[in-house]
Amino acid sequence: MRTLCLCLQRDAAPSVAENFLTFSPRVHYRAPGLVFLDITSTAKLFGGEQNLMNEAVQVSKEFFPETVAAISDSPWGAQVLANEKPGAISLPAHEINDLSQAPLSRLHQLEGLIAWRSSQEIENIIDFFHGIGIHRLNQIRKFQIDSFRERWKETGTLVWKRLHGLDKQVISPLLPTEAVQDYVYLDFPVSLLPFLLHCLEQSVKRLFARLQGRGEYARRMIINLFCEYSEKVHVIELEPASPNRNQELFMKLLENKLADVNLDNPIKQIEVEVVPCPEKIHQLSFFEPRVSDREKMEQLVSVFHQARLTTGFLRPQDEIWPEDGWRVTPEFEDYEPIEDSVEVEGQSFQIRPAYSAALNQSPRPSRLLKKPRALSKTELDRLQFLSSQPIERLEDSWWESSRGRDYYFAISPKQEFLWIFYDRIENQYYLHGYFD
Amino acid sequence: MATLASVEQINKLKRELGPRLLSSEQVQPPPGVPTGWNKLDRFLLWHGFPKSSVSLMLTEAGGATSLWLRSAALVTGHGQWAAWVNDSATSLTAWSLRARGVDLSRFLYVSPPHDERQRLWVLQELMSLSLFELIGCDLGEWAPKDHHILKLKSQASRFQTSLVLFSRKTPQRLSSFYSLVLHFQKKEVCVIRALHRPTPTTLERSDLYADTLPLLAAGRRALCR
Repeated sequence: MRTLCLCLQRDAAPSVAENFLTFSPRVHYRAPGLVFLDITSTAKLFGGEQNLMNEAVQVSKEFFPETVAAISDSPWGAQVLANEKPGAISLPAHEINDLSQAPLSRLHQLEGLIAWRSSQEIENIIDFFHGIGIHRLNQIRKFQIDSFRERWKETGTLVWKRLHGLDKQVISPLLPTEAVQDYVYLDFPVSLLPFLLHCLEQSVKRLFARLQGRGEYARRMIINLFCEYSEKVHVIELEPASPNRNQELFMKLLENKLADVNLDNPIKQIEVEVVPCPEKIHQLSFFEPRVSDREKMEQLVSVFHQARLTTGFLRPQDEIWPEDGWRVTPEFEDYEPIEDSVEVEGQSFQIRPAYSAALNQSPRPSRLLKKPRALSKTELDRLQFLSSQPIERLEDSWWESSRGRDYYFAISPKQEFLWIFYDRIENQYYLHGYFD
Repeated sequence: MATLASVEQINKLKRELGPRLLSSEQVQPPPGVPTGWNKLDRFLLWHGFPKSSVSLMLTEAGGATSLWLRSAALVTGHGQWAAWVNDSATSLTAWSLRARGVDLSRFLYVSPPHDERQRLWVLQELMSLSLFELIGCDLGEWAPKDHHILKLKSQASRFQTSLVLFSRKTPQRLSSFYSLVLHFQKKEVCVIRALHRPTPTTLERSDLYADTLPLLAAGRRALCR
């Protein structure tokens, strides 16, 4: 088994292992700050073990800048190598040779997935061998297993087995089940927006790195800001138009939301939770830009949606009333005009005419009033009607309390081209739009 | 009549300075977004709405929306994006956009912002995306101040966008930060401000409605069937 060991050099939450799921499904975290990956079958996908290690170290250094790594045949071998020769790759079946010149003190790192029961026991072993003039790992390999067992019992047996590559450790697949949450306690409560955003940015970064490893998108983000006094909590919810993992977008949404939050009561603790969903996987063309126009648009729609602005694409609808003639959709939906249909049954056929088909060709003003405005007698007298007969008569179904409208074109004294209707129930003229 | 000496002098200057001179192909006017109204495009230095600038259309007798929609149809027809920020009183209709040939898949609609502050924010967000070639915004009753226009202008310049503002109200004092100001009057369109052009200049607006008439005729045919 080829194993990559990443020494993060400081303790971390076990969930950090999720960051590395992109490199292998078999990942194991062991405190303090050791991540083991079984890369036997995945190294070739990254162009070799060296490339995979470089990428994994790069990911790790985002949060743990002092990370060191090494690859070997066993988890304990990789751990020793990572400390002895950071960045080293031991070729298959060369592990014992590569470790032979390591000092005896490296026995402390000869652990792998299972840590030593007590570091004192290992210290005793090292002291004993130093006492008889043995200082390298290859020198103690010459002793029999019985000698180790008699003197140091189970620990001695395990040391001998590991030195001879006989302790089998298997890295199981990691199934991410932990909630995507982050908690921050601030020693100095924050009441300035830029500082708060900085703290939140780190949390969001950590969570998004986990999402990346899990192959998930953030559907919603819930942020609880715990204030220092009066147990006040600000709850902020962010929900983009479509799930994504765009940290920039979430920070923007967050900034907009936080602009309305009163920070007079300083923030002491922060809890960030992400509601994930599986990511959409699609193959990008080599010539396609990484951030497509559609993605930019989705981001914008999300930002405006949060600000309670209806944003999107206009889609015409086959409705009789002009004010219902379109709707706004967050994603573009193509409009297909309705047409007459022909039904064939055996020897006979029936034509089903689409009665409203002509609607999509009828003239509609460029500007429509939100609400038709009733015209006074004086206003009406000043208008110049372009026809004595209505241009268009719109009638809803009689059972739906139809009002019935007769539409006319007219020119205002200012030479505006108007769209006017006569309500046949109210006997009243209304201004409905402008051919602006 | 040029003397032999002066001709020699000119030839000498040509030899010396010739390589430094730019050919007419190399001198490009500042970029613009064509309006589709040839008379206006020919008159303006940008051959349309100026890019990286803010334009104002004062619409007293209508016609401004049609002109902007013509431009939007050209922009979206080339696979570029256009955006429209609505006013609370009236709304653009999808049917008229379709009739004018605007590609609705490349046209973003934004509902009326709640206040002036939000309107400015919306415009800045739209421009900062570096996606839209043309942005139209109906100001309604709002008359932006000089510093607002300056801010929008700097954004438009940074993100290479043509921002066109619509107003039904003629402001008491026109800001000098507008690059182009068109006033749609009863019988003509007055170019109140345009870079390197004599202003005010009036253009007959009769042909502005030229594209509306076939629309009405088509509608009439459809209704008579």
